[in-house]
Amino acid sequence: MTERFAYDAVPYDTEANPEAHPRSMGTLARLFGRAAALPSTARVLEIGCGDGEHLIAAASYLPGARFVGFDLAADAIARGVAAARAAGIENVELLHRDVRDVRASGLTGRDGAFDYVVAHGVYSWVPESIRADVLAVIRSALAPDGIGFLSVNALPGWSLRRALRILMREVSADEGEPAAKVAAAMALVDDLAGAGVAAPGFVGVLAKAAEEYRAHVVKATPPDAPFSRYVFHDLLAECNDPFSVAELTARLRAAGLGVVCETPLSRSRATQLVGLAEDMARSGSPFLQVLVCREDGDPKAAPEPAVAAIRTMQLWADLAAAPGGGFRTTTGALLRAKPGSPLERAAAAAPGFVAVADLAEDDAALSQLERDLFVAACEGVLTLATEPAPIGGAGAAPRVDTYVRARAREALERGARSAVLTSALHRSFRVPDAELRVVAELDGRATVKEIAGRVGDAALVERVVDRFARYGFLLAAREEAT
Amino acid sequence: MTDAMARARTFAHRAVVAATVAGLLEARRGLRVVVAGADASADADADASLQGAADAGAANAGAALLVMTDEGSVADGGVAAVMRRARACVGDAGLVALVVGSLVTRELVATAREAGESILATGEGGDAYARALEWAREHIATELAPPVAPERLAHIVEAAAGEGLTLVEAESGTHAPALARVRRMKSPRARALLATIALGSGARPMLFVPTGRAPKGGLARLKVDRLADGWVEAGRPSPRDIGRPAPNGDLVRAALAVLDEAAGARRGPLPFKDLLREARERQSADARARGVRATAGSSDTADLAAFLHQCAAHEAVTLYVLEPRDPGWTLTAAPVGLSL
Repeated sequence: MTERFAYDAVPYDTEANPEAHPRSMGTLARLFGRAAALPSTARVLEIGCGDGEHLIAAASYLPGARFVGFDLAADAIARGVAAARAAGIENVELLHRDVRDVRASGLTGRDGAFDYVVAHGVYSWVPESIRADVLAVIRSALAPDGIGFLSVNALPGWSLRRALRILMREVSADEGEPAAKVAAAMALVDDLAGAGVAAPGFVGVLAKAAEEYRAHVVKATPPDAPFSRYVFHDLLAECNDPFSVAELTARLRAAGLGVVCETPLSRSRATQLVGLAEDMARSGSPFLQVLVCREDGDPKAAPEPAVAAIRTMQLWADLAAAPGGGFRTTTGALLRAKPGSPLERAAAAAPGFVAVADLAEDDAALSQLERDLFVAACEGVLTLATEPAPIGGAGAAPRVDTYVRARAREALERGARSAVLTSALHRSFRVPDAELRVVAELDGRATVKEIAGRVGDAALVERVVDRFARYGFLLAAREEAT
Repeated sequence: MTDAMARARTFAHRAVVAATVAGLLEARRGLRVVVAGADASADADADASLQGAADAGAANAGAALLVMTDEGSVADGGVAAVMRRARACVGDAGLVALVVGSLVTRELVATAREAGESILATGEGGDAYARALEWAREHIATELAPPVAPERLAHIVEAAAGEGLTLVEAESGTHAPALARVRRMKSPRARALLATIALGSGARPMLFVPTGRAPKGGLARLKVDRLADGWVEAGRPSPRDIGRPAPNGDLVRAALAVLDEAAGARRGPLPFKDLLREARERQSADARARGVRATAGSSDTADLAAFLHQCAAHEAVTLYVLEPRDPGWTLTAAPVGLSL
């Protein structure tokens, strides 16, 4: 009897990745001189899509785009197909495939047909013998101007995770059940953290690393999960190898791919690759996400971002007036704005998108605004896009996306204490069951008052509607959208 | 002396100290030490008696200590044959030391070396990384032995056991008290892995002894008082970084000051007894300055030896049990068939 594939034996809790959404990828690609496809009509492929959560959530908001995903985990694909079908989402196709077979025979003649190809959380976690297949499929599936997304565990920052991984795998090797393996491994992490960050030498460093990993696991594990499936598929995984920037770029080049930029784009990071390597050494980030393109693509990626491209873009600013003046974003940043400033105009457009060109009165102001917005976008304070997402205000009858409602209903039926929901900006949030009851009612037909009557808590409904509007969940009214 | 030979000597000294403290070797002049590894065997300084691979073990039979590193020159399938020759080389009276480094240490030190000592972490990747980089900068000159992947180590330990060589490892808490609470790593291999990774080892001997001489459960009982007949050398990182000079705080603090001065004056390795004497003198002078009287404690030697052993585990001092400049050993490069 063959051993079950690890991701069939133990499901992985996948989430949408905002940086791997065509809107984010396309925006950065435009900044680097690429003619990236618009998200609304994009063709997107995901390698190792798991249960397809990333694709289904995107597909539901972008009915004019096409999404294809494949994974070796048959059970995960089956779950994803069922979830998409239950939500009535027809523009996503999930396939049970081995990347080696896809490399050998393609995806039924769709070579070179995708504007965006995503391989998130795959490359570091597959055996070395399969890594070339992953890159080959990215290369062959990408259209000439297409943009790929690749994430890896990165050196030197991941070194401390490697230390934990070696010891965690050793201590859990004799355990048979996944839950027992994770329990033994995390007990060791507790022991190492308990050695104390003040312990001398490397012992104190490792204790701090254990502390940080423990906190990371808490964030990455659903609160009602019986055990951390994240740990099982991360540091306890059979394969998990990090890569330096130099090694990754060499491998990409050998596969006919080049790096466009890192994503998210950090202002402190130099954008050229030598600078990126140095900055990875300074930052110690254990994870690296890059956008890639075909080396034979035309035009070649620009080495530096061209901020002038921002004037053709759209801006989304989740701004709310802050007590004492200025605006507070949902991430907690406080922005000061003069009366009549571009920021104030952007706030007036919230929660929807606004064209950057409409925010400045003359060319000089627009040039300054481009630079300011570039910095703000790099800091994650504001969001730029090549085209707007269909975000709207609450209106009389607030509406969330079909898939969001379906997820809320499904979680309530299952008796879950919470569910992860994805906004129109492809950002995921864990929502408690009490709020899920409200979300399930936000269908654009019932008014806030009617929903309050059904739920029996008017204050809760008001709070959820207000928050969901600010976080980019509420869609434009049906007639506006059309 | 070439770099390769200097490295071989460093590893040999560390192995002799580890084996002596573990009670598995009698440090004395005239010790027969064989150093395996491509670098060492190619060195002109070595008293190499190169033989064919087939009789490699026999050619060096009777060695008190065989020092090996895992250069990756032998696939897993060939490890058993090498260990068989190693067993023949050391016979029933000797032992094998496999000197390994932590891959994590290698990566961090390489980062510090490449980026230069001025590199400062931004903190973005967490406080642990910032501290790791600071630690790596202090270890920029540390000697690095080839790392051994856990799967490879398991294979080596198994192959050694098949040839009658048992891995012997002390409780991790004896190297660093903070690790005493990590009790889940029970087998000698797990303890060796824990010590190598958690101490951030650059080059650490793992000791394999003929099974008949191995302590129960492969658990070494350390005899740190054997360091009292040896030598100590401080450099960078400073043993001060190992901190907490308890239980004999004043004496250890005084010894640290002596070691710092000796390092600054490039005095080279100090005999342990000289260090103890100078530390006591300094301790007395300090006490007099404070108007109190200091007396030599009966546990001074043991306390200082225990502290220095922990410093050495962190590679913050170098210990010797043979005269560092003239160890009086026969250091022989091993034939190719004894290389991993």
